[in-house]
Amino acid sequence: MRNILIVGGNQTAEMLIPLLKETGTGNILGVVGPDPEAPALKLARSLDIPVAADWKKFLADETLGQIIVTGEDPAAFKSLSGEKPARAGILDASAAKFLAETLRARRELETLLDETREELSTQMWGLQKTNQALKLLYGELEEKNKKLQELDKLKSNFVSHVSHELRAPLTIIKGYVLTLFDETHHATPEQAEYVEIIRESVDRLARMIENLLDISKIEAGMLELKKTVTDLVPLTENVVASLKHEAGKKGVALSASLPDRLEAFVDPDRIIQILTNLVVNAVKFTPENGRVTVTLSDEGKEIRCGVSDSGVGISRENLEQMFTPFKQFGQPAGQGPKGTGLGLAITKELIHMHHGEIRVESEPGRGSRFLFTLPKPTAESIITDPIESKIRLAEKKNTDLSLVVVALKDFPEGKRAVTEMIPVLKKTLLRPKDAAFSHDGVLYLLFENLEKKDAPAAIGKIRQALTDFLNAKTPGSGNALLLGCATYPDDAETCDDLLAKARASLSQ
Amino acid sequence: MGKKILIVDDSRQDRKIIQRFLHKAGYGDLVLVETGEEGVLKAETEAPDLVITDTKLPGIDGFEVCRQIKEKSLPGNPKIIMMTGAIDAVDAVKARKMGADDYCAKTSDYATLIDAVGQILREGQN
Repeated sequence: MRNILIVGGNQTAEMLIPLLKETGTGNILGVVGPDPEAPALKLARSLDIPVAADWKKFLADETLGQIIVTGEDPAAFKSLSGEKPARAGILDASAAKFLAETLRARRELETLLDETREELSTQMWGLQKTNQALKLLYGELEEKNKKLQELDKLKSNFVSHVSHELRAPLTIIKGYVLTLFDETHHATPEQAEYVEIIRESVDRLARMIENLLDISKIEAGMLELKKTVTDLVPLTENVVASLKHEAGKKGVALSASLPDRLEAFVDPDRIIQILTNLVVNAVKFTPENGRVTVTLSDEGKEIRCGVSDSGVGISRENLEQMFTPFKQFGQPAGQGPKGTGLGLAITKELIHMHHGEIRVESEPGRGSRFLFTLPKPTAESIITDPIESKIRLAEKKNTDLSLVVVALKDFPEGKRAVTEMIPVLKKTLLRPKDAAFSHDGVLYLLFENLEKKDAPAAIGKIRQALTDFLNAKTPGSGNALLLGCATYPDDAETCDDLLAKARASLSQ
Repeated sequence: MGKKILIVDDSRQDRKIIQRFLHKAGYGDLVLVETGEEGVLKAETEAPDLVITDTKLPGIDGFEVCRQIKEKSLPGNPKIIMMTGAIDAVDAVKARKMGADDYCAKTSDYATLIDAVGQILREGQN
């Protein structure tokens, strides 16, 4: 850093003194001026910088590198004249002013830079802290989520267990209540009424337990659909017929508008449950002289089923929550048995399990219309659906699943023979858990818990049973039998692969 | 020498848990208050080595507590940790600008807070 002598005590000098120091431009050796009370000289004294009225004493300093003359100070100039030191450069007044301004701008920039730097480091600090905290909180959330999932599973198991345990005593109560009910002709009218109330409540409790079991099974993914190709028309007719009497008692006309025939690949019991739920609901919310209509139609890509009523309807805000468990809305008093609040939630889940959708349209006071869809069966889905659902189950339970495919080579009436095999096997080799279905002359058998190493022995038994069966029909025809097998997860993990492997291994 | 810590948190349960964890970590000299106003007051009268304040408080919030304590330039110059259940980068920067020495998340085991307390009080000794 060069050593500087400032000559003159004016404003420029006063500005330069701090700027030279702060910007590190130079070290001030001294300030020279005739008036010791000039602001620059006062400032210099306060900063312990030597001051003098004459510059001679500073000129002797070997380290002096620069003289800055800050103003038209006649006295200062006078003392300078004639003795310009060769080694020190001299800045005149206008250059000094320019220097002061430049230095000031530089200092401002430096301050701004410092501030920006500090702001940046504060922002960095904030981001770092936030990042650390987020990581921690995320970890904690993950942990909680895991626990929640475990709890949810525990809850589902608990509900399913408890529901199951409740069933047995309830069956006993129901039995005895019915016996009591039969004997109410001996009772006083009051006693008869009490027994009737008990009977109704027991019925409701039984329904609730059934519903709870269903919903807990669905939630735990343990509800299995037993899908078969089913004509929906007679099934719907049966549901309508069975509820017609109950509706008639209330003065509600229940009717159905159905095509001649409409096949779907569904679990018939569950479809009956869905339809019953919707129709019972519709009747319940329809006042006397109202109508409930069930429709069924083939819409090409899908099957559409509607249950509409001329009942009380549903308000807009309640529509959205219709399918939420335990939500019940505006049921007028004294309108038949109380619901469980689970019916529609179960209905929706069952429809979803069938890959269908349900929605509801309604206008308060004019009635409601529940519409649900079911996919049209395709040849492939009839085979893959049950296999897929069994694979999902095996995955959940972490067990094995073996698929056995049975076909007949050059066999007259093969299709019929194959269908007849199911009851034969059901008698001997198939356990209730196992599934069997046939499609287009091929028999598909699904054995839960059958490991790959045990499969050959099982196949041997099946072959024996079916050969005997065929030979009994037509002697010698047992030779037409072809069997193939593949096991999840050893041979394949997906339905398509499992099918392909089993089909490829078909042999005599 | 035992360090004195002032805790400002409006949740009774959180105060209790923090107290328990700090006790376990060996900090016995604790002053607990509910509001920011009390916090600023006690920072002066109790002369703690460290102030721990929640960001969200009824009345003046944790940022204001921080600012006011730092503004007083108390003789002991207490360190300040701001803690929060709702992490936010903007808040972290704000805490720093108000003079907080650290900013940390309220996790259920308060492990980060205890770590931060240890670190800050150790730094203060050097």
